[in-house]
Amino acid sequence: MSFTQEAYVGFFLAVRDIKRSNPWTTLLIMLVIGLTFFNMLFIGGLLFGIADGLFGAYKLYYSGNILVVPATNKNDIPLANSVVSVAKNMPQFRAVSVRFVDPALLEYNYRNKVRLSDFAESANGQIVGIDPVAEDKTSHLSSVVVAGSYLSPHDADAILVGSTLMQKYATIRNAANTVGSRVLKNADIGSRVRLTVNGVQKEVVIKGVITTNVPTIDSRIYMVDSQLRALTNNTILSASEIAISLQPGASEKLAKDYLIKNLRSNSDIVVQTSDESLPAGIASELQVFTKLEDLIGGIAVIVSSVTIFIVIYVNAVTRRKFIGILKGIGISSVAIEISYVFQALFYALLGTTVATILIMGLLVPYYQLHPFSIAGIPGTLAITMNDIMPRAIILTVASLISGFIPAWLVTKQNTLDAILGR
Amino acid sequence: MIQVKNLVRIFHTGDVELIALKNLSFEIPTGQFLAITGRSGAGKSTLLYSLSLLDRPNEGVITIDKHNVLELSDAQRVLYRRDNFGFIFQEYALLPTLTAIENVLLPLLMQGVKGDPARKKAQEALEKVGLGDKLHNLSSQLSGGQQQRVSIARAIAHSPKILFADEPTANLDTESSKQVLDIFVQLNQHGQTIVMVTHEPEYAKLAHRDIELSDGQVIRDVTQKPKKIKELKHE
Repeated sequence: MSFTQEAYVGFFLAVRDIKRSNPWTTLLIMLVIGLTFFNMLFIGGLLFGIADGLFGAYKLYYSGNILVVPATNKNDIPLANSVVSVAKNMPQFRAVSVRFVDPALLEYNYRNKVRLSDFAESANGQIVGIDPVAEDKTSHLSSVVVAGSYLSPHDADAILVGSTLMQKYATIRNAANTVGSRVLKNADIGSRVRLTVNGVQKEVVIKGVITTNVPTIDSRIYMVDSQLRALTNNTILSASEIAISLQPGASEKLAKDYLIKNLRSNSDIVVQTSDESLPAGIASELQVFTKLEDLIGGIAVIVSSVTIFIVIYVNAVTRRKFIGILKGIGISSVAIEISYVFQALFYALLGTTVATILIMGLLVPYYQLHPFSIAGIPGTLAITMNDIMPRAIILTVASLISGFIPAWLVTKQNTLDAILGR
Repeated sequence: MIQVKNLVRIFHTGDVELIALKNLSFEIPTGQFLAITGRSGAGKSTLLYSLSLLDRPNEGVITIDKHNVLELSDAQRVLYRRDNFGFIFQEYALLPTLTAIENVLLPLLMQGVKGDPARKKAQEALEKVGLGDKLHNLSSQLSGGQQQRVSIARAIAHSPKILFADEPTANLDTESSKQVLDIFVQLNQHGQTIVMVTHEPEYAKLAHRDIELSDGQVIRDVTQKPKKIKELKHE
C-alpha cells in the first residue's frame, strides 16, 4: 500500500466527511477558527494601529518625510535657503516648510492683575514661525484646526495655539501633559493674549486651535514667519528646522542621501528620515506597543493552537466509533490520519479566509474612514497581508498538528473497543 | 482452512477475571458455512472477533492457510483483514457520511483498485444483494435490512476468503432477516466460507455446521444438511 493510495483514501473520506457532516458543526468549527484567527490579528493590529497612528500623526503634521535640524552644537540652520533649493531639485520632492522656533510665553488676563505677585493666566510653549501656505502643503496643519481658523500669509498679529496650552481644548492625552504645567484656562478663539519671545512682548489674537495628539506639535504656537522674525529681529533667515515632504511612495533614505550629497556644507545640519527624527518619548511608546503586540500575538498563537486542538480533538473523538469501523474494514491508520489532517486543513483555510475577508474587506477600510482614539492617541487597524500571511501559516500548521494528534491517538486505540464504544 | 488450537481469551475487570474462551480447538474447512450459536455471554462474539483478528486472544493459535495469523502485528492485521476477510457487524457499521456505493467502494480503494474498476465492483456487489437502485443513498436513507445488505456488499466486494458475520439479523425483522440469510446461502453456494454468529437456532440450520458455545466452551459441534430458507420455521 503506497502513501499516495493512503492519501487518496484519506482525501476521499475527508471530502465526504466535510460535505455530508452536520453543516452546523462545520459552521461552528469554522467560526471558532475564524474568530481565533481574527483575535490573533485584531488585538495586534489595534496596538500597531495606535503606534502607527502616533507615528503617522508625527510624520504627517510635523516631520514630513525628511526633517533637517541644526547639528548638536548649533542653534540654527545657517544656509536654510540652499537646503530648500536642493530639496526642490529632488525628483521625489513634494513640499518644504522652513520653520523658525523660539521658546515663548502666552499670557491671558494679564491686565487684570491687582498685585505684582498675582499670577496671570499663562502657558509656556514654542513659537514657530511658518509660511502658512508652505507649511500646510508640507504638514497639512490646516486639517488639524479644531477651533477657529488657519493662518493666512497676511495675519500680522494672529496665532494658532496647540491644544495642550488651552484647557478647553486639551484632550485626555494632552491633559496628562499639562500636569505641573500652566495652561490658559479661560482663553478661547478671539482672545487677546500677550506673547513674549526672547523678552520681546506683543499682543496677539488666538485665531485657531490645533490638536494632533502628538505632544511635540500640540504644545506649539504658530504664527506667520515674517512676524516672528520681526519680533525676534532675525534678519539672517537662519531657520530652526526644515520639514520636507516627498511624493507618495518615495524612498526617504534615497531623499536623505540626495540631500547630504548635494549640500555643499552639511556639517552644521542633521538630515533625518521621519523614523530617525522621532522624539525619544514617541519612540519609546512605539517600542512599548511593539513589545505588547509581540506578547499578545505570542499568547494569541498559543491560545489559538489550543482552541483549535480542542475543537478538532472533540470532533475526532466523537467519531471514534467510525474510526474503529474504518480500521475494522481494513482502512490503514495512515489513511484515517490523513483524512483528519485534510479536514483540519480545510477548516483552517476556511476560517482564516473568512476572517481575512472580514478584516481586510470590512474592518480595515472602516477604521481607515473612522479612526478610533484610545487615551487620545489616534489609531486605525494596521493590518496588511504581510501581517496576515505568517499568522495564517502558523494557524494552519497548528491546525494540521491538531488534526493529526487526535486521529493518531484514536487510531492507536483497540479497534474493537472503538467499534463497540468500550 | 482455518485451524483453531487451544484458544483462550480472558478479560480482566479490576480484580475480576472472566474467562470468555476456554481452550477451544476446531477446524473450519474452506467453503464451509459455519454457525456459532449459544446464549448471551457464551463467548460467540468473542470467538468471532478472535477469528477475524479484531481481538487478540491470550493464548492459542489460529492458522489460516497454514499461516499463524496471531503472529501478525496490529498494522499487518489491518492489511490481512482488508485482503482476506469480510466482516458484517450486528449494527451494520456503515459510515454515515458515505453513500451505499461509497461504503462498498472504500475497502476496494484501500486495496489499490482504481476508480472506475472499483466503482464497477462496488456496483456489482450492491446489485448482488439487491440494492442496485440504492447506490447513491446515504445510510440514513436506507432501512435496517437495506443497511445490512450494504454491509454485506461491502464485505464481499473484494471477494474475501472468509466472511464473518456477527449476529447479522439481530436488528432486523423476519422478512429482512430472510433476505440477508438468503444472500449468505447464495454466497456459500458459490464457495464462500462463512462464519456466522447467531442467537437464533433456527437460522443456524441454514449452515453446514453448528458449533454451540456455553461458558466459553464448545458444548455441541454438529455437521448437518443445510435447510433451505423456505423450510425455516418462523413466526
